[in-house]
Amino acid sequence: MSHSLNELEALTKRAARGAGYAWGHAEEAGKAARWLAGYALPSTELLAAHLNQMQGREHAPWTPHATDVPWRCDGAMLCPLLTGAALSDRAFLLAEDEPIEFADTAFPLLLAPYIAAVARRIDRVIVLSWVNASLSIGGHGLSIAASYGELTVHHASMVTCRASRASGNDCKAPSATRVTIASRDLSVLSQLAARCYAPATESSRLLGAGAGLTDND
Amino acid sequence: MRLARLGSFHQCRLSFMRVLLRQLKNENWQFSRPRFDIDASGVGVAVYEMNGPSHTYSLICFAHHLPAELRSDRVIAEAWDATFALFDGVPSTGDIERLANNVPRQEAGRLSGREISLSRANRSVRLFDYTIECLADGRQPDPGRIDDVGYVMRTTAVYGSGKFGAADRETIADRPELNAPFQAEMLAVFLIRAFTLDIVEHLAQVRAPEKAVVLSPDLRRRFGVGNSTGLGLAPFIINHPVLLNNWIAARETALARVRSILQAAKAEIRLFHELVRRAQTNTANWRSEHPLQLTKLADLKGDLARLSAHLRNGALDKPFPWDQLYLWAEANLSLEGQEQLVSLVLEPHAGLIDSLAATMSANEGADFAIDGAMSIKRLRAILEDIYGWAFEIDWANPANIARVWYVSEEKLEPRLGERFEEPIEPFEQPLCPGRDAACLYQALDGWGSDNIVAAFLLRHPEHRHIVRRAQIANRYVYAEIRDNMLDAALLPIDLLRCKLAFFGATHFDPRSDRWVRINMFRGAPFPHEVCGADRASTQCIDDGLYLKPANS
Repeated sequence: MSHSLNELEALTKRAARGAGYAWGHAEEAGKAARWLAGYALPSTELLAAHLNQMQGREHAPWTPHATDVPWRCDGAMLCPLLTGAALSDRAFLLAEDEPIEFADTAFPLLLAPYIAAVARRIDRVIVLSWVNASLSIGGHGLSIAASYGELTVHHASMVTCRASRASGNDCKAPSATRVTIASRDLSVLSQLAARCYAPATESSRLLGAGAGLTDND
Repeated sequence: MRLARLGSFHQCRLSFMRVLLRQLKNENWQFSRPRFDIDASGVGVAVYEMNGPSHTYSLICFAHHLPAELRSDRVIAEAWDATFALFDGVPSTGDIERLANNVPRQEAGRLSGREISLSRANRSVRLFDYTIECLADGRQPDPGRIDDVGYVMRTTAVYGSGKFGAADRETIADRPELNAPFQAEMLAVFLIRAFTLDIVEHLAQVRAPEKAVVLSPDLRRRFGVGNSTGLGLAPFIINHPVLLNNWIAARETALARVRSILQAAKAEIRLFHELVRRAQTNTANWRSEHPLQLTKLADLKGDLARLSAHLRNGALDKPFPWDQLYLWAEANLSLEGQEQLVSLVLEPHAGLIDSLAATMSANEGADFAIDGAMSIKRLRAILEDIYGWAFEIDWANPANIARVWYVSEEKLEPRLGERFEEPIEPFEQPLCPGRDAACLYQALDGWGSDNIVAAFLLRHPEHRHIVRRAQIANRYVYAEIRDNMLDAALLPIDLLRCKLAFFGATHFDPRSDRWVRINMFRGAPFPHEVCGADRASTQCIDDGLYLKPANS
């Protein structure tokens, strides 16, 4: 089913919240989904899978220690949403031209939108790469050297990002304005999002909003 | 930026409805009604078309039969008297068929990227049948009865921005005609108004083909299109701080420009006096039964009387007359009167003000990223500056956190509940920046001044949302409303009125603390008048919102 990017963003934000992320992370996840969809990159497929594995779990073990080299966490894998946000908060690190590495990262493509935020802030092209995949991410464009399979891996044992000297002239601007969401992914995301909604009750219906149940005036 | 003042705003030159009307006239838009297939019982399809310099927009209208017991203003309603979609271009038969299967279902249907807006409207039982009766009988309805209600139909939602699959604002915002806020939605409502009067005239004609008359043009303009607004709109100005800032900044800039005028020109003084008179008529026509609004209306009547007297004493004959007038208003009038005055002083100064409409949109993405390099010391200073008022509030006192904003699974209707009376706290939406800022400030205890926000947020993800807000509010002086959104005494209608005043709505009629009826385009010309052959005779295209008295 075809969706607008606003719908995708809203659904992802609520699904991330339903999966246990704080509102601040949830809204960034929504923006991340939108960014990926704008470049016609897989978004809901990866987010549904990742949010599904995060829901019901403590997120702390998936959170990076941002002063380690490479970045790692206490658990088995870094969450790309938490890691991407932490990197975006430390955009200045990439401006120093040193590479940043992440060990054992889940769904590494989900880092890309956060790296785009860094690229905008420091006005550089940043190269994000893992085995057989490389993305040159500018503030307003993207160029990719990777197959679909390599982009959508569920795990990469080492991920690198580094500001490059490239001009970004071969980065293409986003052009997709709609997204098609597979029904299976829509179902997973909708169910997670539904955790944000209060159950309908008679008293909630009568008291919670304004107008009456009939308005014949 | 306090709710009591925001909740006293009036429409003004910069209101989006008026920006639209000026644009339709100045850019020479053409209007037509290529289809009006409504049967004798009021059921069918109509298409209204607006042709601009580079794009055409079509309002597709579906008129239904609605049993009275199903008629409701609520989001949870499932059937309506009429449903609408604003289409980008000229719809094909296939488009109309597809939309006929979706638009009447509203939230339960799907739209495509060719649709920009989705809406629905219900009849005013008070005025719809009465108007048809009169017209069918060959006479005009009584102006007093028209003014009691002000519309024959009211919209109960106007959706845009990608909802239910419609086109995202981003795909159309670059078009000059759609760049100012909510222009597509205002256009849809403008055309809906035309439809509501057309259908009433049509049904009168059907009832009495030999005898029926149409509305006289002057009376016709006294009908606006009503609107019923509830909590769905309330979070908007909280969730869009940069946009809110830009709206307020435009209005404040406009006011500052007028206040800096050294001497008032005679023509402007004359116009201003006339508008004050018309504002008094407006207030006399402004109906409400809500005790809060009645108090505000009484205040406003008194304020306008004081203003009139002050003007008769030569208030505008001094240097910096508008500035003096504003300062006088601050000292002598209620908030309603002060804000009415602000709207009025902007009116005679089109040349100074109208161009500010171009500053009222926002690129919200540009300010989204958190600056993690900011020091804890800087963040503390920002919080003290912007949210110091919230630190004075005892957030443990139940009266201060009595309310909870949440979304119901019933059609995702936004609601406001009582924290201590209903089990809804787990579903709380983040709509009280004041409390969040106070919590953040406390959590910063013990963090070294030279440490950075990035380190704090890694440890405290729960504060990420408010940190972002605080950094935004630091850059945009009007972004944050300095009030407690969870207070037992909160009036959500203040949030609604602020946004609706920017839309251009008038005749705010609260029905509860969280639901308001308003009027849109009342007094304005119709599409065929703005875009018609007699365009040249439509003098002040957009000041008709200040109604002339019925007998003038």
